Amino acid sequence: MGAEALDALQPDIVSIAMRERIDGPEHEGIVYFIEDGVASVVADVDNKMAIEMGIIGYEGVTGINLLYDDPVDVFRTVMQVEGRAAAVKAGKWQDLLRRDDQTRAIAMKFARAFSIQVASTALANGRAKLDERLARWLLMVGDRTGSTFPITHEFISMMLGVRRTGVTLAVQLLEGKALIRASRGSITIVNRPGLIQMSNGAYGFAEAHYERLLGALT
Amino acid sequence: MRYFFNYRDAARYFVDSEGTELGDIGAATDEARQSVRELLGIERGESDPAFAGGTYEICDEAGTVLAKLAFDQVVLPAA
Repeated sequence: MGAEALDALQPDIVSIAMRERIDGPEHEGIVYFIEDGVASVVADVDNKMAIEMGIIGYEGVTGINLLYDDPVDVFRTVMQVEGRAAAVKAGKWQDLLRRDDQTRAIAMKFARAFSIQVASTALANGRAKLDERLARWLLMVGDRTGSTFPITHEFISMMLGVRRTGVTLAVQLLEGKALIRASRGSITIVNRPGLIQMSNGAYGFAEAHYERLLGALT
Repeated sequence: MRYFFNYRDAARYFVDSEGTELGDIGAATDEARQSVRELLGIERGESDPAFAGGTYEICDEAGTVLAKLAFDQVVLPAA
């Protein structure tokens, strides 16, 4: 979406901390155009089961339900890597989507790209090994933040829906292959092509469609 | 109590410096088994050359090995 169209929505530029929940009652009626950092869209059932469906960085906006003209958001969105966003009243955003064909066309392309990412996540969750899923996930976050980003094993385990135990080992496996460097609370991607290879196809499919629909991410 | 899941095979030894709070050694062994399934891919149920000879050594805070679980012991998911 063009900067002018976004300015017309009179956004507030806000900082969002890691783990801050950006939907729910305290944020009702606001969408966030991410400027930097990463937001995570999580499906959960009564807080019993939860898993990440997809992530949104500077290429997108939260409240994907609104892009389908559905006022009901059924997923939780949590900030995964802290950053800034342009916060806009949902009503203004919906008005613009309804009246401006060009904005709606771009927004629908983003919605389409996101749905392909969600399919790719489902495939990885069901068929890929943990180190492959971790490689995919680190690459996706890196595409949106740069090669170094703050993250804990516990948080990765929540997002991937696996035990922390395996995440710690998988991180060390990738580190042992000199693909990443991990320190307490942060990870650096040091060999991106190697990490892509490590993902064994889990990374790249959705990304090719992001590029086709929205232009290159990095 | 806090259990630590160190990984060992012929070539590698990785120390779990974080640990996980669990009820007893039974729960810790179950944790290790589930973790192996995730590492091998939950649907595959087959051994993986990347973890050949791999073993979780379940330790206490002092580093004493309380139990071991070979990755090859965990093949098919429980019904």
